Amino acid sequence: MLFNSFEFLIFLPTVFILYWFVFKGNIKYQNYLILISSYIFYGWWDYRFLALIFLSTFVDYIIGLKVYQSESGLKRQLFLWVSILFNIGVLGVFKYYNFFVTSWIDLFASIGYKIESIWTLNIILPVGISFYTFQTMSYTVDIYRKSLKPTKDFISFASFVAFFPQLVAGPIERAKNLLPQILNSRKFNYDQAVQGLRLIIWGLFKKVVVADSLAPYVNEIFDSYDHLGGGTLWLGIIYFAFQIYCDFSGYSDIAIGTSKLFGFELMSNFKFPYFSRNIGEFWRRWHISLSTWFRDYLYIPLGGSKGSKWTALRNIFIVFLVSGFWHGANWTFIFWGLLNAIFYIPSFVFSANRKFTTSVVAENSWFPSIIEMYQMTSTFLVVLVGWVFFRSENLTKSLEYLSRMFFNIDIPRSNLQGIGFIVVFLLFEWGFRKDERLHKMSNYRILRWAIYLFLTFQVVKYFGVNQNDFIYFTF
Amino acid sequence: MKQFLVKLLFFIFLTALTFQFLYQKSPSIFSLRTFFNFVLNMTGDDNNYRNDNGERIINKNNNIGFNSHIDFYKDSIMPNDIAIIGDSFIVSYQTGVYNSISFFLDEKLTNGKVYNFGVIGGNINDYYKIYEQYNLNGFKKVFVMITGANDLMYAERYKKNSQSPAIDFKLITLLGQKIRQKRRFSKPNYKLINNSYQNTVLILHDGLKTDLLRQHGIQLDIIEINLGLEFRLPDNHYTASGNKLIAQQLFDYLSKN
Repeated sequence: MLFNSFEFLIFLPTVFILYWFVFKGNIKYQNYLILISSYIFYGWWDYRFLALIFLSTFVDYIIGLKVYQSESGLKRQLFLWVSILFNIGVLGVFKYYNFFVTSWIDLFASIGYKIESIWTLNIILPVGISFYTFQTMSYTVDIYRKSLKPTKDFISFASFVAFFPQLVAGPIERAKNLLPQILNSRKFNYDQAVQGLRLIIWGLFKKVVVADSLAPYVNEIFDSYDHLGGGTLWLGIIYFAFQIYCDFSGYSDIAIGTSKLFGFELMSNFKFPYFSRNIGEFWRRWHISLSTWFRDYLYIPLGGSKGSKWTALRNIFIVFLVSGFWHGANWTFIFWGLLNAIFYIPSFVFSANRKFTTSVVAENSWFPSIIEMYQMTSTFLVVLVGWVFFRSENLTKSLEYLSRMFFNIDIPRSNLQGIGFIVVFLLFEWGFRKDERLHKMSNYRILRWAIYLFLTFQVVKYFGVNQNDFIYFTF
Repeated sequence: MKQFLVKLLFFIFLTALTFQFLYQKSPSIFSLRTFFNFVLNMTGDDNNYRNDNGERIINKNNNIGFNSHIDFYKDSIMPNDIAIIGDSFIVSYQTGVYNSISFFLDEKLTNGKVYNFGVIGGNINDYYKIYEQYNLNGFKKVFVMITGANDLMYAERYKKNSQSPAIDFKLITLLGQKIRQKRRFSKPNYKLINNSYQNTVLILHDGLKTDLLRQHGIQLDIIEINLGLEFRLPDNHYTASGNKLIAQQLFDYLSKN
């Protein structure tokens, strides 16, 4: 089920009414409701893959308990590896198997051995697989590290894994944050619910109005890039930068907002990344739940930045490489990851990556300073280069697109209509830049309601005009 | 909870009210030019107003509702008559009927008339419906202008209700239309172009290229338009001189065929 669909418009109020009116005060039934509604939400897309979520849930539930109960270090380690291998195995089969097979065939073909492609499988990529496998894996690792106690309540654990607002595209929640909320009773909180609705409207605006309106231009420009001038290609990649940001952060906002309606707090996933002043800050503001996941479960176990500079550099490369590969089984994603490592490393070497860890741009003024403008623009341009690889079908097309962007410069003559969406969006985004959770859109009630009405008006107006799936569903 | 639900219902009521008064009466906030044009023409006469270049222009609906310099009667079609179908680029509201492609082509032709069948926001499905409705297979040639992003994206546009309700609640009507409408494709669907309408000639512009269509199996005759920025109005439509050049290209094609 998509957040931007009529089905969800009926589904959400129904679950809300059942949750707060029918099962009010009964945590057990509320959790049953969360689980059943989450499975309906997921099964709406393809019910057959519910078995996979259930299996993943069951395996990590059992292994979590086993790790906790085992006293021998070897046994604990063994169970941990069973969990990791199971989860990676599921990802390997459903997401990466065909990629590895075709890559081997291509490699052999390049040295003169032609192999018939008979080993590839005709399988669909289950929606959200990369998100929920990472979530269950981190549960077992946290128990292994003794930073979390496993739950014996299978329904609560299954609700944590399948919690419908964030099931298919995150934020990738940690059991330490979400599971205690599921295990403890919730009370309806007016401010929390209003904030939730605010985030849902803002998220829908980003997705339905901005991202989906930019999508046709992006598709058209990337489909016929070899006929277009550099100016239009620049426009295409700028459009894509905002399309993917509004698409994904819009989903996260709706997920966080929906969770708030049921009394849950999810972690923030985006903090205005395009206002970042260097690449280090960008990665602290973009897809935070994944970045911190890799930091905690890959970078730090590899040694983080504690060893020599070379070890730290190696670890950064590995993290970016794996992060790229996480996004999809394609060399373009791997290259995107590597490229970002290359962009990130200079700031790490010169210790600039820890700059701007707390403050936001133009913290005490309306407008950024010239230096901040320069920093934001240069960071955005660097990010744009990476997006070319992320969006292109293959490496050859990425390189051709880039070369035309830089060596065939002209003034764009067509596809200019997307600019207005970006300008209006950026005006709002700039106004909200200190508070990604939208605790308050404005101190003035009239202005606040005018903004709500404007956003809702546009969402209804654009609803269904260019309906697209969320991009991150395929990751 | 009570406070939350009351405020939520009040907000839904306000949204419905906003739609009732502003929907289709407010300009797009995402296009500055459209916005200013809308404001400037708010008090003007629909048939005589200023375009984005500030030029006074004349538009007029013909007997079947198209923005055209001549009326259309099915019975009086001659074998050398020409039809032009397309979206707002053919409608030419921004340049006026006497600066439209169909008018300029009509001026050039000594034998046969040129009829304008442009529809604002049209797509290829609409064009084929017009073709069928007005029996355009009796024409010598039917030029169909294709604007990639607009024309090849819709599976089919929604159908309006044949009977309007006594009171039109715009929010409800709009939501109803959105539920019924078919989905838009996420990228141009070249299969929508029908090779069997053999008297049609495609006019490509705005980034669409002949070889792209040929790659997708389109066998119809194609005329490709590549005009510079100097032939565009601020809202991206062609200027009168742009339309004149396009008419010349169509005339050249007709002279050869």
